[in-house]
Amino acid sequence: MTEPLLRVDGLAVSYRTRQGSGHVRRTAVEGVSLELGRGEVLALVGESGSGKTTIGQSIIGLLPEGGRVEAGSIELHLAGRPVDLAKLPARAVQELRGRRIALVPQDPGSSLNPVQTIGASVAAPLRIHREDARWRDRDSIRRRVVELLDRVGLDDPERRAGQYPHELSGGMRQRALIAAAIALEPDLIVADEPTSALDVTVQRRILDLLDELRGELGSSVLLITHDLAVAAERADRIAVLRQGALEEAGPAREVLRAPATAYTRTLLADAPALQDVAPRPARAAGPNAAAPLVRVEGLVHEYGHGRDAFRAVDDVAFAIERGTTHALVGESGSGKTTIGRAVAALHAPTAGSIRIGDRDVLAAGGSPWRRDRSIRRLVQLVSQNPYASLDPRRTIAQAIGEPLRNWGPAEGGVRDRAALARRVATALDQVALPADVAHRLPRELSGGQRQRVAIARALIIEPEVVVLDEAVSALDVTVQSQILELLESLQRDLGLTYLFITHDLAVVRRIADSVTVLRRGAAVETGAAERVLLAPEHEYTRALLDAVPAPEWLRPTPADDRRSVDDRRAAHDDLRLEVA
Amino acid sequence: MSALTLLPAGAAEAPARAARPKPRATLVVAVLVLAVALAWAFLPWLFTSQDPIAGVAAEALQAPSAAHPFGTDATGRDLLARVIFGAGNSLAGAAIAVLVGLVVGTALGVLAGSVGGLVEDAVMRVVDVLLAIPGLLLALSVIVLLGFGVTNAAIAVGVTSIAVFARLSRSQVVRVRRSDYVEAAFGSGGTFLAVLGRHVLPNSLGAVLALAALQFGSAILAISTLGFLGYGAPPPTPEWGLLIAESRDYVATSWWLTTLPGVVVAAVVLAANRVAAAIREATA
Repeated sequence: MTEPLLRVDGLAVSYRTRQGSGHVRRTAVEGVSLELGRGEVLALVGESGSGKTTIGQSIIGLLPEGGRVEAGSIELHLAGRPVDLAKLPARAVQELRGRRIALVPQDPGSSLNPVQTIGASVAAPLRIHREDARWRDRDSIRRRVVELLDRVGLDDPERRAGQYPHELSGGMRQRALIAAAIALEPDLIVADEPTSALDVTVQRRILDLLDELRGELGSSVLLITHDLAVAAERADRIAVLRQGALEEAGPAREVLRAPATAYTRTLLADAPALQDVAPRPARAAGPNAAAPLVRVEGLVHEYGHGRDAFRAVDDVAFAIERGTTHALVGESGSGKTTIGRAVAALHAPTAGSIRIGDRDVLAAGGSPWRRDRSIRRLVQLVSQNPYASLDPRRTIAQAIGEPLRNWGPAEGGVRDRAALARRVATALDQVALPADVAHRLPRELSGGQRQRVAIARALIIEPEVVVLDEAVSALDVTVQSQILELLESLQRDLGLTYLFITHDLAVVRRIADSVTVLRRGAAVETGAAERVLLAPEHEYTRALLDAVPAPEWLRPTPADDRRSVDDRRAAHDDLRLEVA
Repeated sequence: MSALTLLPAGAAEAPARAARPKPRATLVVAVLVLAVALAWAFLPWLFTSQDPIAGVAAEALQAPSAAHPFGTDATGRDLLARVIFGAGNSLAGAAIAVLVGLVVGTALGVLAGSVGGLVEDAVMRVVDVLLAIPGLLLALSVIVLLGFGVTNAAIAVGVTSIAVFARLSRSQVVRVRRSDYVEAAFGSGGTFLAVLGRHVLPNSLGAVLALAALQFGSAILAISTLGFLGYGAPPPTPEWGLLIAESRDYVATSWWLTTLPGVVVAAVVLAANRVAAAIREATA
């Protein structure tokens, strides 16, 4: 490699955190060394808490309050003479920031000033770095802003420049933020999870745009991501981080094809987009094939009334056989959550019918506090955010036992304390949580553990149908993979029927028997998972499938497919043991 | 359990830096002030041997001294004794006032917030009307209806705080009602009352308790105000507002008569506010 643009050597960062009445410094990053060549893309990959964002923040000199670089150097090589960003005074780093190093932030929703026009936000770096003689007067700044907005692919850039952030979609806002980042043609672009808040089809276009701009400007990109598939597809080099330390680093193909450490191997094995799993084959028509357990017909949901009415769900129909998983796939605004909540009898749709077995779900109306509660024993909902769905003041045992206390003994409920404790212990065991979790509070658990608690609570009254609303979307890949395994084994053991709502087609491939693809409230395609995923009929389904990041060279080979699922799972478990 | 092992594990921990004076110190002082005031209220005779009602005419209008730390008033009564014996009346009044506001206001707010719809609209419009009337005017109107006296003054002050309690508790209940865990509780088959008792009330009443402590301070002031205006306890009952009112003719010559009871009232009100802030922090 020629002279690198950025060389991080032995970086250590610590944060001041409260502990009891005083403060302690907690190390977030320790001994990390990286190199990024000119025009290269280096992906920093890791799970939450791995320190990847902290490294990015150290490089642009924007560590949050309480953060401090303890040791090491961050050398930026500009025109031959290296500067150490870690030792530079704040004033001098500010001088470089925006001009030489730019940031593309994670959340386009909160990264633009809501009371400033898009044009003003994009012009900010031009106005701040006035030393560049080209951007001294208003007209040249305005022309440059329009040119930039046009360059990042916003239609009608003149008009967009005068609009406010709330008038733009998430993808458009991210484009505007990229325009601001490239305004002064920086040498280094730090992109911190630039697409994590976006839909897959939008993600693909934004990543393409970043690639194009890099080629055009010759900038280097530090791509911070939790998504190994994105890194595999876009990066020249990959650095894998774990708990603040570098696990391994090297050219992308080498790291991913022949990972040196067990941790990287588990990450690879757990990333749904990279898993060598074929869609579940269509099941042989069972005796109940003619009478599916869940039947949704002509479902329509409108928000608002009269002419302002917005049709969130437009005439959707599907059926789920007992003991199978049906996936509702779609991007944000496709109506998938609205449908899921209607099936869970948490709100009443405008029209249509939902039946579970011989029960009409909507017979008693759909509202959280409806009179006739009996449907709740048939269908349960697990929501995306397990932290929000657990009462912060109640212990795990109280949360899991609560559904049983809501019912009389004749209805499958339990009132007796000792019996309740026994059932809670069984439920914890069922979701593979240790018994001592019972007396803790939700905030004392990790994200994966909380989702297990939410699943245990949903299952304790033995429902037949479970609606899983993005139940694994907020979790790290390894945890996500474990929860999916748990869901699969519970389905086998208890004969559960799942309605699995997700935006992630890679997850669908792994878990679903049948699929409905939604777009703007309408079902564009529905059918067996194998058929929909391998031979999609609708172009939107194809677009969604294409947008799943995964480079060709990592796709499973036919030889891999011959390995049985159980073999792969056994190998997978061995890996995890090795890592733990 | 690998989900656990993936958490950031034992990072090196440096010793804490030299601590600044802790904010807890002010809280300790506040609690002490309130404790002394409460002790005065319940066991006044432990703190003074002087008679708060009968004075010694020969010792009228004496400046603070070792024998009379707060001095004496125009009829020769020991001022400290009157302040100590007045604590009972003033604090009991404040407690009644807060209780009235807390119970009635919170009941209205929880009703409005949890039932919603027409009930909510009706209750909250009545609350708006209550808020539109100046507090003192409302208190005076209630007193005129109920008649003069310590208890009635306290109830009147309590009525003026109903609206604040109702508004706060309603907003808290509405916030909690919209949370995912309340929906999850209904979704698991919880009845309205079960969910209200298990989730909505425990999670929404922290802020209401903080407001109660805050109102305790302002109720002391409000009752003292009514006492000062002559609507509270009749003389010669020792009551903090009345003490200040009775002495206002002597401000120029005997400063201690108004200043020292005033300082006591201010200290207790400040202490109540500090405790309120602590409750708010603890429940936030």
